[in-house]
Amino acid sequence: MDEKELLRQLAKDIRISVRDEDMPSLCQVYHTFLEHIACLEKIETEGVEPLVFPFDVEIHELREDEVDEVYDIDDLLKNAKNVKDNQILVPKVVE
Amino acid sequence: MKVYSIEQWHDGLLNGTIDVSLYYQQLQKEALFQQKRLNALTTICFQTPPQDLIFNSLLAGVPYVLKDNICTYQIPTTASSRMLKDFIPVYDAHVVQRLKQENACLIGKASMDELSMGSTNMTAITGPVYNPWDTKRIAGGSSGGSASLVASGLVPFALGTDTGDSIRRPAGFCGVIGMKPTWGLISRYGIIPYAASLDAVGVLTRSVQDLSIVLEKIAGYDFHDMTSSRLSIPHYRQNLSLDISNVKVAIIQNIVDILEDDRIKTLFQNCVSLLKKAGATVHNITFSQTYLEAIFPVYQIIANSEATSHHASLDGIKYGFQSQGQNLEEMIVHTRSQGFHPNIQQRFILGSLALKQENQEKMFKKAQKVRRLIVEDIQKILKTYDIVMIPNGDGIAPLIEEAKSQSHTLVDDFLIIANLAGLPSLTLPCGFVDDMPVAVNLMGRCFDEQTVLNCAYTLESMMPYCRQYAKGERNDV
Amino acid sequence: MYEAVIGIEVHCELKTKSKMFSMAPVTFGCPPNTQVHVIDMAMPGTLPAVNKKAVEMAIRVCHALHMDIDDLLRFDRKNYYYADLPKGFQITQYYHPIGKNGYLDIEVEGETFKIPIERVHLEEDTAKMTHNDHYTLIDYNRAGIPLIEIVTKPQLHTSQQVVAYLEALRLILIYTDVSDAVMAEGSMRCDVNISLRQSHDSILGEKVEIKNLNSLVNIQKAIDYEIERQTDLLQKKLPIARQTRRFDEKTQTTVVMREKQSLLDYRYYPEVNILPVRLDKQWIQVIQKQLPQLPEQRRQRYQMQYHLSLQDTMMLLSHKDLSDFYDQVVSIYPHYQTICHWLIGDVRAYLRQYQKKVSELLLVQDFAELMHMLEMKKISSKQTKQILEFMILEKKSPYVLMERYHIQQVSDEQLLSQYIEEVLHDYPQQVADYYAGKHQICSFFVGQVMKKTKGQANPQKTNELLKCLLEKRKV
Repeated sequence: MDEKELLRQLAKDIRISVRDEDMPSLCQVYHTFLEHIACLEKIETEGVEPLVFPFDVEIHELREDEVDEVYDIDDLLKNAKNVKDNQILVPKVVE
Repeated sequence: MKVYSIEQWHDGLLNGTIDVSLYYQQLQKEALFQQKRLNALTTICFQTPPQDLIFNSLLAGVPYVLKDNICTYQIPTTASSRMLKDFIPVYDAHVVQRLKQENACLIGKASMDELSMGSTNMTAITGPVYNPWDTKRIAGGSSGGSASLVASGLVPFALGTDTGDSIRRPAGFCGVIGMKPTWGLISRYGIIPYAASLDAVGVLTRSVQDLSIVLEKIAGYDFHDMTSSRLSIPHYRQNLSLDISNVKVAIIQNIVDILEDDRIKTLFQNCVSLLKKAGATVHNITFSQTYLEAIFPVYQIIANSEATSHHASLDGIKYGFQSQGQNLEEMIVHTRSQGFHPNIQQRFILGSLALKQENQEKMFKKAQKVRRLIVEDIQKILKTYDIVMIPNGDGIAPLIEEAKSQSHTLVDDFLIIANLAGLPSLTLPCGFVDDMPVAVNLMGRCFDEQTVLNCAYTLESMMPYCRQYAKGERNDV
Repeated sequence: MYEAVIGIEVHCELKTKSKMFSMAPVTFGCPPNTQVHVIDMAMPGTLPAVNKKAVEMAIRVCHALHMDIDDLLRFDRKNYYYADLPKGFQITQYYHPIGKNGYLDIEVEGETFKIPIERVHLEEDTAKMTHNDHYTLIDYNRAGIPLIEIVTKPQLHTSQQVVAYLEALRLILIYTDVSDAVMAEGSMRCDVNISLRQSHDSILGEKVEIKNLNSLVNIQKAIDYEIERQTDLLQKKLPIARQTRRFDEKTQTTVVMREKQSLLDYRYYPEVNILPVRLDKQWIQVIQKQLPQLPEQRRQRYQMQYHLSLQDTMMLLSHKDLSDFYDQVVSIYPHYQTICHWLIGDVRAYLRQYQKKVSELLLVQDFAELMHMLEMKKISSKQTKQILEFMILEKKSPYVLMERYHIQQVSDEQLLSQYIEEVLHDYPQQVADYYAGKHQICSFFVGQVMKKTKGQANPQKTNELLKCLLEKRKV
């Protein structure tokens, strides 16, 4: 796949459309990214477990199943741009 | 307006030498003046000057600012992004609740790089933040507003967040103390994230003592954050000690060697001498060059990947900026394409590339594996040594026009190790070059904040930079 | 001939008090957006906190399905953009499901099949969207309700097996007390993956997924239709497209929802806001020990020990509260058949009428006494009905009610004989019929005696005396 097409598709996956004028700089950071990947490829990681957290740690407690006061509906919806019948209104969803 | 340390403020309240309402009137004027000079605030909130203060806490009545990615009930929290320009949280971050309990007084929200993704504080939607020591220069980022305001003397402390060096870099540029504590020491509930496995809330102050006071008040377990530690929190301030004779310090020689500015090298060597003079054991060691070069790539890949997923919630539906569209899909695409700066979009796109199922093994997971190798290496050093000391960067705060083209150096990159490994890391001013502050950085073992604080406290006591600030020339007083 | 290869994914809402990751209440049918925490709406800065009860419930189901339980609890992110997904990702367990490698035995036409279950994992429900012609409304009450997903290996082959599996699984979800598992209300949802292969050929055809199936009847129809459709395509040598389809009730067929040319890439990766949780092994064992007796064990007991018919057994089992109540009553008086008969008959009718649980209508001890009196022939079944109604209305013991309403059986022979004589006197034609050999007319006479005694005559005694007197008259 063409590089620009690849980047556009990736952008589309995360709901972003790349403007033409931003493409050159996107390609540039993409190349830097590939250099980063190449840098890591030089390091042997056979048998190394990925480190997800800064250190390996396990916890033992979970939250008890208790109910807290619910948030006020007006508070919850006040940041939404369109509200109808106490629900958030969005343009029609198309499959 | 007089500038106080937290203890001086508290004493002043107790013995009645401070008139709180008068002080807050002056503070409000000062805030407006500093805002004009530094552009470091996104919101000023003086609606309710503190009244009927109960002085039971050292922080009672103490004015402070928060980086604008820390959620505050009914006070805008924008993360300096167009996407959240009009976002008003309906809940307080855990740290905000804690500070409210202490009766500390929030006077404003501090500017930052958009969504914490930057190190210059030039990417805020409200424009660049200026350095109080020289307003032609940047404050650094991403917690630039927090650092700048503490350095201006406006507030004795500010909270910031640190994902790569976002507290420590601006602290160094602005000549204040900045600490990123151990990952999990402070609850991240209510913090608009950058990358959860690297993010930490931290404190910026003008003295180690003030930093210890604030840290103690906001650290500790919070059931809202499953990654927050249940360890009990020591009395950092009470335990502050100038006796560091048992402390073993490692200097990363190959980092010091690459410093280009001899003046910075000299200031660093001075700190080494001071530590020795205070009785600490100091050894020079080297860090694997291969791993050193891998720090930045590992960081970028992990941070961008986590960020793209954290910010998938920013779609214009529930809160924040919303654009138009014929259907929902189109509305979301328009919202995200216009709401984020193109540079942020690029980071998300790369993150999405590294997370792609077919790429994960050689990109995201590869970065996580190398992260483990780097972390194991630094942990090995910290088995022998209590503290790792490095220069806090190779240079002073750049001029605004230089900042755009500046790239990172391996010296800068070493700060990121603290995020990769979750270590406590504190930046302390250690001198001036061209009238601009220069700093040194101390890292310690996870959850051993005290040793880091004690070393900093000792160094601070032997240098004249404690409680320094640059408030600028005011012509209205 | 082709063989269908079917895999089933079931999503089940857990009836915890609070949500999977927030402290908002889990409720149904509340006004929109009244049961929502900032966490459920993915407000910036919020973090998940795992609900212990949801984990416990998942473990219960795992035990019931004989799964291997992973005592290191881990979560992952499933990243995709959809308006009902507030965070832009769903927290689920992709890499390390809480349960692996289980099975469930089912019975189809007397034959037993072991259905292998690949995984059970915990996740969270999405928001509810209501679509209109020009816009869509979003309600977050459902967002964050705990779900478990139960995935079989693709080793089912007929729609009958699927229905039997879902029925058995539904009972397990109910008996482990984790869910109401009502398909029509969406607390249990089912997706079916189906592909065909040449019987002795191991190469599978393209997989078709059928979604949004809301009843067992529709599932059976959808599968049968789909097998027919795919068979038809294969016979015509036409390709089967990889699709997601749904069952259309109007046409009784499956229709395309979306084409799946390329699989969606969910970019799964470990959830960084939840540290791995080491579950206490003892806790896991305690949960197993406290597991209520499961439907399969009860079924065996009812049929083998109590000699209930298969039909009666299934009727009891499909109503857990009745089955629980039954077990308690028979532990007092072991009149297995009678008690079952009354519970699934009259009592169940009352439950439907009042929309209540049996424990809300009747006390175990009272009902047991009532059944015992009936069994000991101290009261007639008509009287039993009468007393049962009073018990439900007045919540009193049968003894108290019998006294209050003067209900008792007339067994006194002299008194009964007197009534019988009166009846025979009143109906000479019917008596003549009897002598002509129409012996079934007896029940008519008994009925008349009952009428005269307001239902209090002992029917058995009456019958005996009646025959005696009729024979006497004949002579």
